[in-house]
Amino acid sequence: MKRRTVIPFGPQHVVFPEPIQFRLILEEERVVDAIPALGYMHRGIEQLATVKDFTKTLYLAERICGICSVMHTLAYAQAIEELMGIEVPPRAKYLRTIWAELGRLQSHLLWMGLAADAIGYESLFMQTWRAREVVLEMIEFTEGSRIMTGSITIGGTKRDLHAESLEFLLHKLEHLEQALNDIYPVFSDDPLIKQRTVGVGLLSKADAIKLGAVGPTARGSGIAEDMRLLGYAAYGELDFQPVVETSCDSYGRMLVRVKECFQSIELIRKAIAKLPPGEVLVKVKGRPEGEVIMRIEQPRGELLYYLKAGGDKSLARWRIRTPTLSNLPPLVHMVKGARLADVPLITLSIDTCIACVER
Amino acid sequence: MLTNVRLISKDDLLETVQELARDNYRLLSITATEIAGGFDLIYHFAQGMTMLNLRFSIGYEQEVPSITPFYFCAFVPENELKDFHGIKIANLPINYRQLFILSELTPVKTPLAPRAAAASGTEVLPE
Repeated sequence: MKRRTVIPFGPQHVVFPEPIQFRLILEEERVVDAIPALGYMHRGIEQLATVKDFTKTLYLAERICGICSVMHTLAYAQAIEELMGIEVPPRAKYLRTIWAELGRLQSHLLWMGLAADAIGYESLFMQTWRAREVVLEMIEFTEGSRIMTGSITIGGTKRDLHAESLEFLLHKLEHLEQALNDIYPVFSDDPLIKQRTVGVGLLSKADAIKLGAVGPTARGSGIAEDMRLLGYAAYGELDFQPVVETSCDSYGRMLVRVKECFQSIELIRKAIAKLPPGEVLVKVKGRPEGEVIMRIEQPRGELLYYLKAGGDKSLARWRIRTPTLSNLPPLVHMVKGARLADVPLITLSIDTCIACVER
Repeated sequence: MLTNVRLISKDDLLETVQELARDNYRLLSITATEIAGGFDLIYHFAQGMTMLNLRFSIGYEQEVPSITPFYFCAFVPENELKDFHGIKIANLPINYRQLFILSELTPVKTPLAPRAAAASGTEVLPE
């Protein structure tokens, strides 16, 4: 039997913006097993929701993660609205969709920059984050701040978009699309990127189902599942198909994210074109009661909330299952058999969001 | 609202999960909620976009079999059940012994099972 070595990968590592550890068990240069170790930043959010007022828990939801903040508020608001039987104005549904897609764009571009940096392409990293800056400008102009925007609330949205904001968005989307057109061929065709990603971190379609993969990790393995197809917010009125790749490797997962940036631009354009007039917020009275499951598509995949309320000011239970938590077992599977040098990029290929996992 | 719920008993869990695995259902998560005398457990599955929820209740001292023989990925939510609620899981192959997300330094054990913690004399968070 070959000699085995255990290498702690993380909790501080250049590819991890947040702390997580994988204990890698190696035989020479090959990984034979990996054990994830969490708990470096657990904040007890699920427990806190059982003592906080349910309206204040909305702000707690936004703070689960700095990158997916808009998605968490969207899911939480939708879950409470379903429990309380609140019908959100159509215009608010479209605004939520626009902001959710802007959130997806900034998240995917953030990931693309990190991936470029991990591969060693400093210039591509800077080009990608320059494009992300355009998205952050759009978010800031339309929502008032760049990350914690607080635009989505229970019953609708706190802000509206006027003609000037819509024009600004359309103008900036053109800039962004041009930037993405320049970046896309590098991600798809560059020989060095292909060498580092093609055939690396394999996850077959059958394994993706068995191991519970979600989001671009699942779609990169040929699974055409996207929670936006459930039709929440305005997605049911915007015709689109999930981006799917069948190469089942890091390259496929990367291409899904890059192509989804173009898809988000199209979805925002369609939402602006169809944006109905009217109010954006309805008054909320009473307290939630009952049980609900809410599933939405975060940039990293399916987010699942289970809420139980008994008509009190606080929730009885708020279960948060984030996409990265679901993608951890597939990641353990992907790194088995990989070379140690490929582990950082494979880990990055599921777009780990540790704040979401730890919650 | 909570739809597609199938009420089962704890003893039927493994057989039912085996059938779902055979039919290519995906395990989404497991949710536990503390109720009077024990826990309400919901196993969330999906086939395509359609969900299926298996539901049953257990007492505080009852053990739940691990479903990892059919869904290896279940070791994540099952370790969470141990951490957050103190639920006993039988035959869990990757057992973090209540140190998956919480640590030895966590002041509150089983934070999502306050009644169980209070009954065992463990410190609970103030209301």
